[in-house]
Amino acid sequence: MKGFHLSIVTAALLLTPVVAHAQLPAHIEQFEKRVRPLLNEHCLKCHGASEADGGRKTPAGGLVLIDRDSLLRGGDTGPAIVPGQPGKSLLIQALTHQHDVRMPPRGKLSQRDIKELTSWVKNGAVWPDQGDIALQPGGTSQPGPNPDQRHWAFQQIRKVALPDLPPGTPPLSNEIDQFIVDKLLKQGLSLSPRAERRVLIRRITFNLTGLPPTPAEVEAFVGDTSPNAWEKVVDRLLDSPAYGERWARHWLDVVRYADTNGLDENTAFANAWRYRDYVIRSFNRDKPYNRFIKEQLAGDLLPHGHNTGLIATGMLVLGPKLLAEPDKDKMVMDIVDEQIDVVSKTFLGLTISCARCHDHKFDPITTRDYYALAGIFKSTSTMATLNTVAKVLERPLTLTDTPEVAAYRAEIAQLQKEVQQIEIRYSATPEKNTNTRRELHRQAEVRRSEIARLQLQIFPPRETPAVRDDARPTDVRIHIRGNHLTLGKSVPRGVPQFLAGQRSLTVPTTNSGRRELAEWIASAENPLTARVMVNRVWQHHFGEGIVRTPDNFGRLGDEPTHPELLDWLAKRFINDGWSLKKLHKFILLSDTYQQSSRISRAGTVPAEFAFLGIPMPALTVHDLADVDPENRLMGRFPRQRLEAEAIRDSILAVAGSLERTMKGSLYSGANLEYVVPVKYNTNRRSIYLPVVRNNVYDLFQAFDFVEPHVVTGKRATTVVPSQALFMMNNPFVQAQAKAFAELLLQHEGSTEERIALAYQRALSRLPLNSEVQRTVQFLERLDRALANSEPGSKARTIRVWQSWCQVLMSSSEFLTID
Amino acid sequence: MPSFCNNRIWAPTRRDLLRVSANGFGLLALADLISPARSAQAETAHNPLLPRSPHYAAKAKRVIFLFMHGGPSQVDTFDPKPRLKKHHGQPYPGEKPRVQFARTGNLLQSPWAFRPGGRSGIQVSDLFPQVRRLADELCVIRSIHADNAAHGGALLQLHTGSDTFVRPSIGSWLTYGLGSENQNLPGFVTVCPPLGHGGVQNWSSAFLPAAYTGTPVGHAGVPARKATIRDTQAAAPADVQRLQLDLLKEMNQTHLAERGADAQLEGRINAFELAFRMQSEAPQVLDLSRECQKTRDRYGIGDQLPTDHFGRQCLTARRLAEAGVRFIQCSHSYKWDQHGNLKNDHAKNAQEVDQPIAALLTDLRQRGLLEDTLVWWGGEFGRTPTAQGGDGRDHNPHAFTMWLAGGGVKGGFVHGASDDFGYYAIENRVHMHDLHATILHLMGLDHTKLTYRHAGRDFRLTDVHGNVVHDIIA
Repeated sequence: MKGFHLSIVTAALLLTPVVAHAQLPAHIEQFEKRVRPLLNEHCLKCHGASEADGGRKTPAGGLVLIDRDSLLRGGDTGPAIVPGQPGKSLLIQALTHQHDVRMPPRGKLSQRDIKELTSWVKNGAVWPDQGDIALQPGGTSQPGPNPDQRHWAFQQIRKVALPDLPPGTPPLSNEIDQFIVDKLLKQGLSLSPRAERRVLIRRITFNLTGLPPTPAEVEAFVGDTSPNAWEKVVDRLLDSPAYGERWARHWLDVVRYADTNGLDENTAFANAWRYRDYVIRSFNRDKPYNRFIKEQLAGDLLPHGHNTGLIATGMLVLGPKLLAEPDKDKMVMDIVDEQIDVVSKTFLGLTISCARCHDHKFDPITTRDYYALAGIFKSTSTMATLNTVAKVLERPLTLTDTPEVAAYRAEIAQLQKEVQQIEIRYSATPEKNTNTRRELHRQAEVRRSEIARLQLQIFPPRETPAVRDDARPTDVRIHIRGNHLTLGKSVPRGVPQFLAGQRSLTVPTTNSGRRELAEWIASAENPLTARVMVNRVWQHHFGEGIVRTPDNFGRLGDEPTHPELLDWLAKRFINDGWSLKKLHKFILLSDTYQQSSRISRAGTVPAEFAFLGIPMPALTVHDLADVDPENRLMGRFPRQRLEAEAIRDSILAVAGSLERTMKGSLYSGANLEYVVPVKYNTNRRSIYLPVVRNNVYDLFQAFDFVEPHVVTGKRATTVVPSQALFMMNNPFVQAQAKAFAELLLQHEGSTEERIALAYQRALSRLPLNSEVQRTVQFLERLDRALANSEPGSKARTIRVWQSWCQVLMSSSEFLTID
Repeated sequence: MPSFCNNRIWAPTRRDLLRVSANGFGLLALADLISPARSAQAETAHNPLLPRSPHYAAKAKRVIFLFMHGGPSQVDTFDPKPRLKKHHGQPYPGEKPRVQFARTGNLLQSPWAFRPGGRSGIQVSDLFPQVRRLADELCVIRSIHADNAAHGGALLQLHTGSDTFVRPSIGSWLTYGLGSENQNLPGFVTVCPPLGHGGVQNWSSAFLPAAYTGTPVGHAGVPARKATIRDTQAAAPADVQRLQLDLLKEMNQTHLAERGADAQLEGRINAFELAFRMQSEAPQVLDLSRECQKTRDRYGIGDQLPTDHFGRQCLTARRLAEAGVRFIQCSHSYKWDQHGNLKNDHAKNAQEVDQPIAALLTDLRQRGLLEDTLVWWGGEFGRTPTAQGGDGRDHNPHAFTMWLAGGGVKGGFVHGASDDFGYYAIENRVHMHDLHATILHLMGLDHTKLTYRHAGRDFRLTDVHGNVVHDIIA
């Protein structure tokens, strides 16, 4: 870098006409009275020597304006001034907006100010004291010791000792509880009592599968007196295919999965489902997370599992793009930017994209780091064509040889041989024997078309969105202020330097560096990777993560509520071979997971706080809410509303309509063509519904589905009237309420028994007597209300029950997990 | 202004809980506990649509945006270029942009004559004779420029400020900043919006809470006369639904009582009641048969009339404005893209909107609504002064015209200028970011302070750009 600067200085000296400007008093006065204040006011905030920041930030565009030398030396685009020649001075060009860099960013200076600066340059850019311009002491722009490197998340994962709990503390289920109880005790709090079994089975079934437990599953668990009853439930659910269907969706949120491009030109990614199914499969097979990372970043470059690897890289391809962007250079860099954003947030919990235009304001990520990564993705092909409307790259999948395929191949070989023989005979036949030649030609044609048909059997045209390394990988030059028209220094491909630590990464000149990047991220030594994933898993069990900003572990993210626990779990996760299922099980077996969600009513003495069997300070429930309103200490299980998919799937399940087919596509339109309207009239699980960017399914929109253009590690949970309108009037809810009513009416039994069945199916419990009475009354009232509009008694009965089923499915208890 | 790094929508604080136990319905009552110094983000966490005070006194309380999708030609409507006539058929003497959507030929004169309108004498072409008569209401900005020459990118930048990233729509920002004046209606309504070129993205709240997403009334694919708000058609007779809701409320209250204070559970009980009211109010507001025949005639509403579609949209906009909706958009969808057939199709398009727009402006003025309603007219870009084929113009984001009316802007006023041919904005240039900043300013919001913390930083409608155009403010 030093050498680079020197060469610029040399160049500047060579190019600058050496004009000796006398420092006339008038010029000195001009500088002191008008120029220095202007520079101070408008420029130094970004182009000062940033001693105040500990000198860690490089100035904007590499340019400092603190003395004449620094102006002559210039920044990333070269010298800022050519004394005596304002027209050739970048500074003046930028101020007059004659350059792509337009300064100051907040708006053009007044004509008078510009005139002043122009005349100053014309007069030789006199700088009397040659000293520092600002009041602050002069400094270098070289990075000094970096305070951000002490930020917790950038430190190696620590080996943490288990906390000492007071003597007499009864045994806890596992180490998680030790960390949690330790903190609670210090606040005079304790875990809440264990939740009832009916609550627990409902909680865990939704949590692991996104579906309600069947009445039989509830009763089996409630009646199971064996000591490992809970563990059996955990194992059963982790083994069910519904687990993958549920947890894959959490992952798809993060990687902004969609079946269409969205943004400007909404064309279909009709093969995206292969990636979705790959994620489901990976979760169900408990693919080690480090392998999962490598496949998605560089699966095409891995030695084994070629198809799987190709499909996995779809993650990089499925982002939203401006497909009609006329400026192709910008388009390429926007695609690279989107990839950096999704990769850095997903795996590292970092907002690296901020550094596209300037050094990160809060984290020690420099534009240099950004463009080091940009080189990797710029050397990776994502698009098949950039011409409007641009199309993403798809790569063919190969088939493995089955006996069937082998038979086809043999047949093809035989036919090819025959064709060859026919051709020989053809050429041996004299031209005048027209009929013979024609016949031979016909025979060859028949065989050729048969070959083509058979080849299709072997190689159906199957493609998947995937990336490919460029033949000629290249480094990228820094784009000053993110603008592809103002290029600065070239940066070798690599990873953020502040994280690289001991393992700084060298990218071979022969490939993009994607594989090296993947290895670097999926490493046990990377301080962020395991922590970020453990936190995501924790969050989907408890509603909140240990770090409550799952996609941002930087300085602006939340501090972890339990840093030691996070590290302890991250270490364990790595030692368990990055197994997600082992991590789930460990969390689910903890007392922390099995606590009640209730804050009992005000005024009651909390007998349940005697849970630990040790003397507790007298606490009221108000105290619990006071001490920990956000439940950061985890002294109760947080109540959660079902997500959009779980709402839809459980409505279908309860109504007896849910179809459990897995895999495949439900999108009917042509690939890479404009999206056609999607009908959502299937009864399959929600994860199989196409995700249409720019026009997400109503039900999903109403219930806080992700905005599928962007990385979303944590969904919002809003309460808005459109949700209520949906439950009241949407045809889907009507139809399923009717299906549920018909299912109940088919059940042989009394009204009371039918009500009980409905409660069991929908709420995993039996109704209280008062609830049965209330329901009976409602059914009678509704029957009277409908007497005129629905005179036929059978139709009316269905209508009455349908109306009640609709209420049941709209109730808070149906939509909430305790 | 302090920033609150808090995207947790419903995490109850101690105060919430106390308030809940004190009066049993903490949700709405909470607002008066919140001091005005707190950021919009912190306030809105509790009741997203409650009206909030602006940063400073507002000139306008609501916006009606009349969106001419496709890109109307400035040199044929509101930006007269006599030299275009003089140099018709000659090459454009300046440099064409580095990035062009397509190649264009030589200069093409406007097929329409320009004449002065009103006392101000602002020049408007014969495409808009009725709007021209109201020239004294218009603040015509002839120096708008933006960054993207393709429809999709341009629509996104127009609506969200960014042609690159997913960002909240301006209507969402305004509703986030100011709340809604009518709790029975959404704060941001978009009538017959286009589904292409960004589609929902153009009225989406992106990372702002879902309550600020625009509520569509129909979409561009259906005629305005059939447009409705989704799920507001009652699925059962009112007495049946009332019985259902009564039972639901009882069940939900029992459920809540067993669990102690929970703002979400309370919120949901409230939401059903609100939905029930919205379901009765929204169809009334959208029911144009409640207007007298004379009014409907003025807007050009009638089954066979070319003005029916946009006339209905404009009248709907007035009714929504009266009902307290914060941001209303009407879309004359994807009609103005005349790469060819300029003469016929621009004439047809203008005919469809001229009378309805004039009727809307007049109607608002007569009702005294124009004073605090900002009407905003324009497309995603303009068109080239050079020809595409013999009778067409290409996209041009480098100079185009938009106009504002009412809501605190100078009437009968022209701001900025494009070059002699209308290719580039040259004088008092107004970038789309500047226009956004100005609209927020007129609504009483400082565009640099209306922020939302997301993914580790504060976002704004104008990103790091935007200067308020003070010259146009009355």
